[in-house]
Amino acid sequence: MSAETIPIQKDIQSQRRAEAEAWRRSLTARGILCVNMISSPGAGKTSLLQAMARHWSGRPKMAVLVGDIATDRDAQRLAPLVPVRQLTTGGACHLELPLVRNGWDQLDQDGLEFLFIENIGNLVCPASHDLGEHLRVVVLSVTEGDDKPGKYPKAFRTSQACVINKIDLLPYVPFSLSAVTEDAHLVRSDLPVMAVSALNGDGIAAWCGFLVAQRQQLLRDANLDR
Amino acid sequence: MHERSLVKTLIEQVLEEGRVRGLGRIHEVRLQIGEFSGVEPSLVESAFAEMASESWDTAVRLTVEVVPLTATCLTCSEAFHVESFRFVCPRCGGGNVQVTAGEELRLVSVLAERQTACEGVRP
Ligand SMILES: Nc1nc2c(ncn2[C@@H]2O[C@H](COP(=O)(O)OP(=O)(O)O)[C@@H](O)[C@H]2O)c(=O)[nH]1
Ligand SMILES: [Mg+2]
Ligand SMILES: [Zn+2]
Repeated sequence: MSAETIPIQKDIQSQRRAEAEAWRRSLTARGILCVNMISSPGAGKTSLLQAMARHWSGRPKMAVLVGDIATDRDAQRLAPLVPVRQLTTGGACHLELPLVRNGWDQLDQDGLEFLFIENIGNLVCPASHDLGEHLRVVVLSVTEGDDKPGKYPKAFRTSQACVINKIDLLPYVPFSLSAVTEDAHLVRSDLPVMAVSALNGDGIAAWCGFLVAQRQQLLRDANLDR
Repeated sequence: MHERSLVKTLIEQVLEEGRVRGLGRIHEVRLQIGEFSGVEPSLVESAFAEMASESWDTAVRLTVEVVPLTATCLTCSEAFHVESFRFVCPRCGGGNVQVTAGEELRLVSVLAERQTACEGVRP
């Protein structure tokens, strides 16, 4: 019997994409802005979330789903401040939607306005996985070098905001805020770049204000503001 | 690395297409991988070589076509290849550009035998 070419033309991620889109819509309908935070290990995602939780201290209401390969250390750091669930991937280098949904089901969702997902420390694979977030935020710390946006273009291209963390260390490391901004803008020309120090709180109020404005925009777009 | 889970999805979809379309033996799977899909073709190929033998008794070949990353400038309408992942228009220098290809992971076609009625459909 002879073989023939059977055309299929199917995006192999279409189902995953549809699932992420459906979840994003259900969060939108509840007025929750979902933020997926990606960075290399140690850039300060957990520290940033702690600083934000302290800044907001209960209003607006936020919760965190935090991914880790092996431990629940980050969840322990956040638990005194906000509702949090640990997502343990057992070795996987990025989070996928089913695991996130599982953690979400166990979370105190009452009156929630922001859901933060702390992804696994990795600037590569998380950039290819839609977790149903409204906003992907790439966190880069000044000790990692100002040449990283061009080296990890997908992480920066697919993000809607970039946080430069650890600016308290700027006097000690060769890192230029204007150079990193320029490099990021070659990858995505309209990427907002915000400089903060999760350690001493510099820039945290502006960053939190940016997020509040993003949520208000989401509510306006969905006609949920009253 | 998430190539293994993608290959798992790919194989599931090929099996599903085979069932729905009543295909017999599959000889070849043709896949397009975008330059900016975040997936490394050689890792997909090695994962497929390993995982295909767990799904099919006969050899199934994978052919990968890499799709270049292209964009259109929304300012001056120039269509261009995105060099070194710099999303900047080579004509006007603007950064307001829209990707037109190069992010896909597409199952294009399979080379397969059509099952004749008397062979039936294996469960
Ligand atoms: N100097 C300084 N250190 C920071 C800052 N933010 C985080 N760190 C430190 O960086 C390390 C990694 O932070 P962590 O929040 O665990 O990063 P994550 O892996 O991205 O969650 C910890 O030792 C933090 O204390 C900052 O703004 N300035
Ligand atoms: Mg952490
Ligand atoms: Zn142009």
